[in-house]
Amino acid sequence: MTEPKISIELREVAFDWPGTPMLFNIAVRQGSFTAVTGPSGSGKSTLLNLIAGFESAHSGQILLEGKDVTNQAIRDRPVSFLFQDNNLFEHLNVAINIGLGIGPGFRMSAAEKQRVAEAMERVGLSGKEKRLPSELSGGERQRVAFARVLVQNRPVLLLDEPFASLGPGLRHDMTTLLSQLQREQQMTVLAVTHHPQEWREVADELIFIENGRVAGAGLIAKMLDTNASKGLTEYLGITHR
Amino acid sequence: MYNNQMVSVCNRRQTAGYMALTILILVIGSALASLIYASAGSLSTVDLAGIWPVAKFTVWQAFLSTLISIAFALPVARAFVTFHEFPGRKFLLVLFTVPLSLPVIVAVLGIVTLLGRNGLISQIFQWFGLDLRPDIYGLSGILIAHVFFNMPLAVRLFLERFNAIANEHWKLAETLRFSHYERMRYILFPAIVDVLPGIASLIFFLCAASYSIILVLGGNPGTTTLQVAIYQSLSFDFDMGKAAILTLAQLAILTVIARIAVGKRTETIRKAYGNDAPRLYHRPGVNEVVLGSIWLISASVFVTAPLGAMVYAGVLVDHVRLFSQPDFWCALVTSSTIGIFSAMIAVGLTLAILAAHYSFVRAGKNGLAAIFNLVSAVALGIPSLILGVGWFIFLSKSGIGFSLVPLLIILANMIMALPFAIQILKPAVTKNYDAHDRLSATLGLFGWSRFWIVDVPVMRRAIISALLFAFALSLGDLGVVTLFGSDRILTLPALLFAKMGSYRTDDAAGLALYLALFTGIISYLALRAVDND
Repeated sequence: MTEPKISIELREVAFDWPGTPMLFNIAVRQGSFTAVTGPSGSGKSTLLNLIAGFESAHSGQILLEGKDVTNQAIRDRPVSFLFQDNNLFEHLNVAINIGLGIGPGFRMSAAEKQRVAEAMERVGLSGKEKRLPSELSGGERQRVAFARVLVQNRPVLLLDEPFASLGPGLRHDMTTLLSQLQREQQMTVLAVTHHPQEWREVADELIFIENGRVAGAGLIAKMLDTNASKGLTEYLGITHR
Repeated sequence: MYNNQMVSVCNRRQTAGYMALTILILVIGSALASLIYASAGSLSTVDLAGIWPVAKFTVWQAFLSTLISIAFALPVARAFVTFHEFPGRKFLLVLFTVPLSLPVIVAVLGIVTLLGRNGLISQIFQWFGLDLRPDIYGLSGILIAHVFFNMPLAVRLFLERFNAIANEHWKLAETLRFSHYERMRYILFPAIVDVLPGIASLIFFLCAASYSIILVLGGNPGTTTLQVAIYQSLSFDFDMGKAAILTLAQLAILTVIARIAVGKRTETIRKAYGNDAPRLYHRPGVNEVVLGSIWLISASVFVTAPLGAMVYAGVLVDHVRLFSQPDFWCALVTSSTIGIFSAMIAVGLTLAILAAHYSFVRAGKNGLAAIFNLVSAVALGIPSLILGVGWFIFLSKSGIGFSLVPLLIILANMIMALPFAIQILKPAVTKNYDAHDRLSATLGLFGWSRFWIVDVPVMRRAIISALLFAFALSLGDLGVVTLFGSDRILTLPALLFAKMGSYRTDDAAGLALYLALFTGIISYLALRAVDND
C-alpha cells in the first residue's frame, strides 16, 4: 500500500478579496471527485480561479500533479475548466467547438476527427456535429463541453456550478455522466455546487468553505450525515436529514 | 370602481398620445406634402441630369468616410481591450464622446484652425522655413471632419460589443491555449462581424446626411452633396422646385440606409459613461503592446488636436470686444429662447407618446404601441434640413411669409431632440407607471394632480436630463437656420458660420469656444442627471 498521490494542493494560499481576505489549505487526492460548497461570496469560485490561474495568489503555493504552478501561466497548467454558461463559441459548430480542445484551427487530421467523433459518441451527441450551439438544449450544450474536456485530456477538471442552469432531472443525468467520465479518464475533479446532497452518490469528498477559509472537509457521506460542521448544517438548512 | 379608474387613466394616456402624434404628423406631413407638391410642379423644368453628380458625390464621400472611420476605429478599439487597465483610460473614453456632443460647426472651426491654409500646422511649417499649406477645402477636409466625428463613435460602439464578450470566453482562450491569432479569429472577429453592418450603416447615414461640414469645407462644384445643393438652390438660385426634388432624392437615399442604422446613435450617447472593461487573462505580446500604444496615441492626438486648436484660438481672442458686440447677445438670446421652447415641447410630446405607448402595451394592443415606437425612428431618419425646406416652400407659396420662422426652427430642433428625449425618458416612465399606477388609483390621484404630485417629482431627474439634452442639441445645431438667412434670424451657430464666411477669424474662434463651453456644460449636466438616477 502506497500513500495516495495528491493532485491538487494549496499551501497557505492567500488572496485579498475586498471585505473577505481568503486563505486556503487544501489537498485533493489524485483521481478523486471532490465537491466544494458554501454560501455565496464565501470564496468557492475564487478557489477554482486560483487553481486555474484566473486569479493570482497573494502568497502561498499551489501545486498541481506534484509541480509548483504558483507562477505558471494559465495555459501551462494541466487543467480544463467547465463553467455554468458560455462554454461554447456560439458561431462555431459542435465539432469545431470540441476540436478546439485538441488544437485550434479548422483543419483536423483524420486521427483528430476520429477522437472528436469518439468523444461525441461517449457523451451521446453523435450525429450533431454540424449543429450550432444555439440549436442545442442546455443539457446538450454541457455535453459538448464534456466532449471537449475528453479530447483536452488533462488530469485536472474544475467545474464551477456546471449544472446550475439545468432542471433537476437533467442535473441527475449530467451528474451521472460526469461521474462516469471522471472514472474512465481517472481525472481529478473539483466541482463547485450549491446542492452537495445531489452528489452524495458520486462524489468522494466534500469541502465546505466559509468566509474565505475551509470550514470543514471529509468524506461526503460523513460530512452530510453527521453534523460535522455547524456552518454546513446551517447552510444546507434544518430540513436536511 | 377601482377598475374603472384604471381604465380612465388608460384612456387619458391614449388621448394624450394621439394628440402628440397628430401634432407630429401635421408638422412632418406638411413639410413632406409641400415638398412633393413643389417637385411635381417642376419636374419638367429642373435639370435632372445635374443632380446625378451631386448624388454620386454624396454617396462617394459617405462611403469613403465610413471606410476610413471604421478602418481607424477597429485597431483603436482593440487597443482599448488590450490595455484594459491604465490610468487615463476612462478619461480617453470620455474624450471620445466629446466630438459626439460638440456642435458640428465648432469642431469644423477647430479643424480649420489646425489644418487650414493659415492654420497652426501651416504656421509650424513656416517656422521651420517650409511653405507647406495644406488644402482642406474639398474631399480631404470633408473626410478628416467626418472621421473626426465618426471614428470615436465607432470605437465606442465596437468597444461596447467587445465588453459584452463573455468573460468565460477569455478564460477558455487560455485553457484552450489560443495563440494571439486565434484569440482574434475566435473571439474578437465574430464580435466585429456581429456589429459591423449596423455601425457601418449608421456612419454612412450620418455622413450622407451631413450638412454643416460640407457647407464649410465643400460646396464647390465636384464637392457638393445633396444637402448643400438644397441650400444652394434655395439661397442662391431661388429655385424651390429643384430644392424640393433634391430633398426627395436625399430622403430616398437616407431611407434606404436608415432602416438599419436607426437607434444606434442615441444608445451610444446615453452610454457615454461607465464602460466595464473586459478582463484579460493573457499577457499581451510585445507587438500587441507597441502597435496598440501607437494606435491609442494616434487616435487621441487626432481627436484632441482640433479641440486643442479650437480652445487655443478661442482663448487668445479679445473677449471684451466679443462681448461688446450686440450680435453676440442677440444670438445668445435667440438661441436660448429657441432652445428652451424646443426642449419643452420635445419633452412634453415625449411624455405623451410614452404614456400612450405604455398604456397600449399594458392593454395588449401591440400594433398601436408599435406606431408610437416608430416616432423615434422617423424623427431620427429625417434630417431637420429636409423639414426646413418643406416649410420654407410652404411659407413662401402660401403667402404666410417668414414671420413664423422662429416657430419652425423651434419645431425642427424639437424633432431633432425627440429621439434622445424618448431614449432618456422611456425607462423612467415605465418604472414610474409600474410602481405608482395602482397606488395613485387607490388614492384617487388622476390627471394633472397626479402629474404634478407623482409623475414630475418621481421622474424629475430624467425630465431635467431630457430638457438639458434637447436644449444643448438645439443650441449647437446649424441646420434649418441657414435656409432663412442671417438677417431674418440669428442663432449662435449661425453667427459663427457668418463670421467664418466673412473671415472674421478672431470673432469666430471666440464664439466657437463659448458655444462649445455652453453646450459642453449642459450636456455634461444632462449626463450627470441620468447617471445618478
